[in-house]
Amino acid sequence: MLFQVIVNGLLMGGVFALIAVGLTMIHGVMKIVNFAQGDFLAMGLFMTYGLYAFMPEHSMPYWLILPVAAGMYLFGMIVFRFAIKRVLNTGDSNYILLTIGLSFMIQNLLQLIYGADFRSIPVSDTFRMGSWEFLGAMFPISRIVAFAAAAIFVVFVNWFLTKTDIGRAMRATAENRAVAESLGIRGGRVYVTAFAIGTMFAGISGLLISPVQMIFPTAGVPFGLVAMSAMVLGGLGNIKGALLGGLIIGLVESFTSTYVNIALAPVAVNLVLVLVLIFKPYGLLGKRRRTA
Amino acid sequence: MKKKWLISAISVVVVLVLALAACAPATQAPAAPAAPAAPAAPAAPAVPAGGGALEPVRFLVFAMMTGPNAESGRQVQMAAKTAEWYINEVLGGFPSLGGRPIHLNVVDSTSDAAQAPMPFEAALQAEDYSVVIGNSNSSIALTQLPIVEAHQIPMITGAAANIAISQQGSSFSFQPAATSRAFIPTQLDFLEYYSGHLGIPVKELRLGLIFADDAWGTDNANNTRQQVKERGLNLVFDQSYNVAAFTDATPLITALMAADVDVLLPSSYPADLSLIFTAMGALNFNPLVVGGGAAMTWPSLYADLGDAVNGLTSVDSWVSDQTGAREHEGWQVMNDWYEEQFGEFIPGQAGPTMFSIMLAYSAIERIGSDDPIAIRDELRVIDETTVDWFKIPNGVGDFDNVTGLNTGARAVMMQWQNGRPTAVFPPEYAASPLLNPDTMKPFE
Repeated sequence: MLFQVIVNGLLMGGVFALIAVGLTMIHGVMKIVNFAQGDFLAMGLFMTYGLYAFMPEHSMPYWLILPVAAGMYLFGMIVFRFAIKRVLNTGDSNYILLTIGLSFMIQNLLQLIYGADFRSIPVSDTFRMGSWEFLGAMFPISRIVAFAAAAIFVVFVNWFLTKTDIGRAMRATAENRAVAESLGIRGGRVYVTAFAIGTMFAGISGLLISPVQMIFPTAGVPFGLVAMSAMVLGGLGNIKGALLGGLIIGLVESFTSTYVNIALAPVAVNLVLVLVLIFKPYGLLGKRRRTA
Repeated sequence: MKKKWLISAISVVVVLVLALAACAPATQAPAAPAAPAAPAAPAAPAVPAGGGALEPVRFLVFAMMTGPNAESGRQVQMAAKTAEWYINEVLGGFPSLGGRPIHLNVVDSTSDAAQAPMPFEAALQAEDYSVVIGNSNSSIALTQLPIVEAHQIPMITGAAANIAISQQGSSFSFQPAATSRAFIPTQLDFLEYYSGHLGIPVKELRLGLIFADDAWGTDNANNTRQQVKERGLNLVFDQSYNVAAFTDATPLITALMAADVDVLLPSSYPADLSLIFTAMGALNFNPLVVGGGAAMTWPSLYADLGDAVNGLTSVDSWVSDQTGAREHEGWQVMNDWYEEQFGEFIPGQAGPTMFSIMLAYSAIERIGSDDPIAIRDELRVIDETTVDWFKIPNGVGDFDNVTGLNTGARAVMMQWQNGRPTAVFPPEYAASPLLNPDTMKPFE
């Protein structure tokens, strides 16, 4: 059973990590927390649901990854340009109110368009409930695919930030925007790219969980909360930290749910968070920001 | 600058196109009943031949139209529309009130019990209502009690199953449907009946109870524990889960497997059940399932899981083909209209809403008055010998004079057969025999 518990935790943790990576990217560059990240995941779910109508019956929704990613990237750009941009550098509370308002707006807009019905992607039962057995543990197929895709994206974003010009520009802007701009980096462009990528990751997370997750307007709320915990646990603005945070939260939830009580899983997660922050105030891999 | 606006405009167009594509109805496989469109606004008051609209008799229907439980509100809204049609178009309104029509105003409570009192209070202050059809969520229905008491308007609670509603000392509340206190004995009687068919002594079965941590789930669980103890049954697993934080059921199922559970007793909502049954399939865990009502009997379960739901059983206060409904002519007219309009059977939130409305209608017709206090007084004295709509709920229909609880209400067991719930137990309410879930054929 121990191996099954670890498998359960890691597979779900991978999805948490992907949402958290998007969130931490936004925070890392712009120093804002996007309280609507969970609702962006819900948008990814609905976008997957809508586009799935054009696919053959029982096909896997993962083929929709490009249009969903593109759509959510564009959506992120639009949200940034018309909303987020206006509250940057205007104080600590403005972006909080804005993103919370955005969260409510998205939930109600989704309900207005799609109604309150619970929907689901009609994948085949074989895929949805199928699993592989290995060393006595069951590996649900849909979860493995989600985990693998999440892992690929996290590796991709790490490469993007370290090996590409725009990635390096984002890291430079995150460290000091004024200096970065004095070196010719366009801060506005970096911000919109970071926000759009963060939005895109949330939407992709929605697609990855769509085979097993019912689709309804508030479906993303619990995932958004977990992502925030993972982001803080790993260290604000740290991609590897977000990955680690997501996996740890998945494991904590799994162990607590199986060996103690599922009702205590959120308690355990927050307890771990508090304990980590007591000893490491900037998160597991976070660092104090350098000041002149 | 011009280039930036052009890029923005193109972006908006692309996203709108994607959004429109996303609005396209997706095919559901297996073919589930089509999701109904939101019903149109209730019909305008009837205009008599001589001109001049008659003042409608107003009922307030308080339902969860937004939030995670909005599917329940959708069912209530469809029920209200059906009852309004039936009363106005078939019965001709209220003959004792000169043919005045009924107007059912559905007001959104949200799914949050903390927020619900505000819109309820605001609605009652905005209009004069004769009756309130209370929220089907027990947590929210409880918050309505002091408000209806203050406004002196009778409230009939539809599907809300927590008996606490009738224990608050309210003189204006009426609970017509079976409460969870009635659910559990039926559930466990059925388990004994079921285990008999399987050839396994019921006391040898290892029971696993999982429930949503809200008023309904907790009430179900409390009653289950008490009854299980009284009957000497073997409860080996007993856990609630946080509805707001339930993202993955595999750890829960792993724990159930570790406890070697034979029979699962879930009291859960649609999204939770989807995660639970999917995880059960993935981990190859196949206990008997005897659900605690709510989402176990909703159309969305079939829409999500397809034919995999066939064979699952659950208790509820209402199944669309239970004896009282089958044998009532007027109800069958409403039933046929509902299924034609909305493309699905009358589910667990809609049925009790409809007969709650008809009970209030009957009370008004008997006294020839829309005065709320007079209606309240009449509701206290009617029973199934005086109002035949009171035969719709299972059991013996009669509101307690003090608490307003329908003490004679009984629960019914349903089994999903051929993609819809059918009443299977107790025999006096059943429409079909219980089928073996492995073969979907009657037990030999």
